[in-house]
Amino acid sequence: MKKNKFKNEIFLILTIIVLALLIGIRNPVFFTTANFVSIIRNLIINGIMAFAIMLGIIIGGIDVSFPAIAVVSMYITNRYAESVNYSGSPVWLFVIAMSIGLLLGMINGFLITKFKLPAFIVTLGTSSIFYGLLISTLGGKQVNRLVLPLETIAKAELFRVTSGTSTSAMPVTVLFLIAVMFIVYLLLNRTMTGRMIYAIGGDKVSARKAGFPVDRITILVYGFIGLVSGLAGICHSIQSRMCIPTDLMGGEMIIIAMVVLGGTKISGGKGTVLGTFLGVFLITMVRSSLILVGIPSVWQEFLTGVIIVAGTGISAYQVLRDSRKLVPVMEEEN
Amino acid sequence: MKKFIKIADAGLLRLFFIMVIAFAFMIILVPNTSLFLKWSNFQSMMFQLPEIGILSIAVMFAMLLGGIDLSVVGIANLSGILCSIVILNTYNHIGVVSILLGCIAALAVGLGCGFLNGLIISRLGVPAMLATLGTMQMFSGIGIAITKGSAVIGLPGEYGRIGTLMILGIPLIMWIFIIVALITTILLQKRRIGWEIYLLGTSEKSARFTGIRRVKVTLQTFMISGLLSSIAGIILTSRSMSAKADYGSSYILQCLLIAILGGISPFGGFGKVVGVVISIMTLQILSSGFNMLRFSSYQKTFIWGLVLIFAIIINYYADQRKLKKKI
Repeated sequence: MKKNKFKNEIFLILTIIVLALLIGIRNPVFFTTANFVSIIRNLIINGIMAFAIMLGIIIGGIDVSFPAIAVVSMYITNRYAESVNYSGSPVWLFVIAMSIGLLLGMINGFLITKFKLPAFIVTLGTSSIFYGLLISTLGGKQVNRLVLPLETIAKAELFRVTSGTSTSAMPVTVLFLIAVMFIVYLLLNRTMTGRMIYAIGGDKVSARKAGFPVDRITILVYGFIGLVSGLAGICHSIQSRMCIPTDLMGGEMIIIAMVVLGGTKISGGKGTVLGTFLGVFLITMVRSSLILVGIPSVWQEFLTGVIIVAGTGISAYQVLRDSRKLVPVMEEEN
Repeated sequence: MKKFIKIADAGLLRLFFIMVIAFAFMIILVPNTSLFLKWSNFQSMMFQLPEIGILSIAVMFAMLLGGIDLSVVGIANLSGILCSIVILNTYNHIGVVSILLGCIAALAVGLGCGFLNGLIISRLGVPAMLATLGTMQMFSGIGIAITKGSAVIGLPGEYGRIGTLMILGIPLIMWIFIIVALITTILLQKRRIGWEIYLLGTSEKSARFTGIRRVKVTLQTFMISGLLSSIAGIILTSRSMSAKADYGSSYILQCLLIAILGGISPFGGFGKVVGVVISIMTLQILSSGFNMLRFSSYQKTFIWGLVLIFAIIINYYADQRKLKKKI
């Protein structure tokens, strides 16, 4: 059992190395530091959301409303900041965005626990409610210029690398990615709540019988997903230096795929921070390297699909094969 | 068994009531009532309803097995694209026959895509939602790659007739929808495959002990779902006279909404085609009413979300009451 603990992670790392070598042989530009920085920059927003979504999947529910929550938080915050020509500390803007996210996430959590329904269906509904309400009340006008406090963050960069002709700057938002990663890691591995999240995802009925506050933890998780989505939303507006309400929408499935590719079990109970990071990295790497290899970008969607099917197929097949090895008596137990 | 029928019928009755209420609501709300009640309005509803209706039935099949099929719209678009390409390439040589050829190609694509879905789900053991998430990307990805992301246009006028032809005052595509609904009802209620799907969706383990072959049934279910999606694809292309890889991207939400509202259990094993049909008609009535009230598409999105959540809550309380009665 112990031996298999990092099996999926090792498999992912090997896949990443093999693909990286293949891409690198076709085009040496891939191995430059600038390219690496640009891959990291591309994965920040998806990564932030992926770690939150992972918690949801571990507890046994698939949240598809997080892009809507991110957009709602991002848009309301930016429109508010623009309308009052905000010039105070940017911290408050983050607080606003994250509070909106937290509130919406808790609405999800409430509906899911109260009516005992699959999170997927509930969040599908709330996603259209949140987004539909946002655009029908505020309109879809894009905010072209961020307010000064956010613009300052957008202009700041941690470092800048130049390799050959290309330069890449590491945005400050990467710090948020690291922070979220760290918090989720601590939550899952160092707190009782984290252990309960795994337990609830593994077997809800047993967790309830063991006296875990299942509903409270579930609401907490969906609240956390909302909060982090709010953060991701405002980070996205900082990184793109404008705020377009149609951005991010429709990206939910690919992020869920990244998480699942990282070894998070779609039915709950299993998943690691490292695995999720590798899943996010793998898909982002492939998607952003197609041009380097000379594959027309129209194939991007197809290749992503192939990676999802292959990645999930291989791990699912391993599970299926292992379960066949068990004696029939064991099989009845699940 | 009698009790089971009673409960199912209570659900259908409730649905029917919701539809009547929606209808009454629209008559009151739409300022120009005569416009809403005009035959032409019903005709235009019958033109809009089939494609999403057939897709919803396709989604229903996967849901009966306890999975969610996200790839139906992808299959519809891919078969629409291939159908158009076949027609465009052969029309100059064989004329109208090319349309038949195109439709056959589309149906073959649908069956093939469904087969692939079923294979990944049953042979590799990937959960349906995840498998179809991947294949959704693959199917629409192939579509994008073939068309370079733009729409296929220039289809012959005869092809558009599929979407405009009227038979006995009812559009041809509505007839197709009715036939699809009838055939799927017979399949599910009267045929062996129907029993197998319901049983497998209710409990995989008991199904195995009954000697039902999981792989075979899963393959068949997803092939039916793929075939239906490609029929929807043909309708979609003939109505818009073009094919594109990202048409109807909002359909998937609506299909799930229709299936859930129609009483199909997302956990599998429960639900009937009649429920889905009533639920489509309800949504179509609401939708054309909202159009007359000049609601924006975002306002409609908002309302669909609300309807979905309300449907869930109503079902929850109905189930609770049922449980209490049993005790």
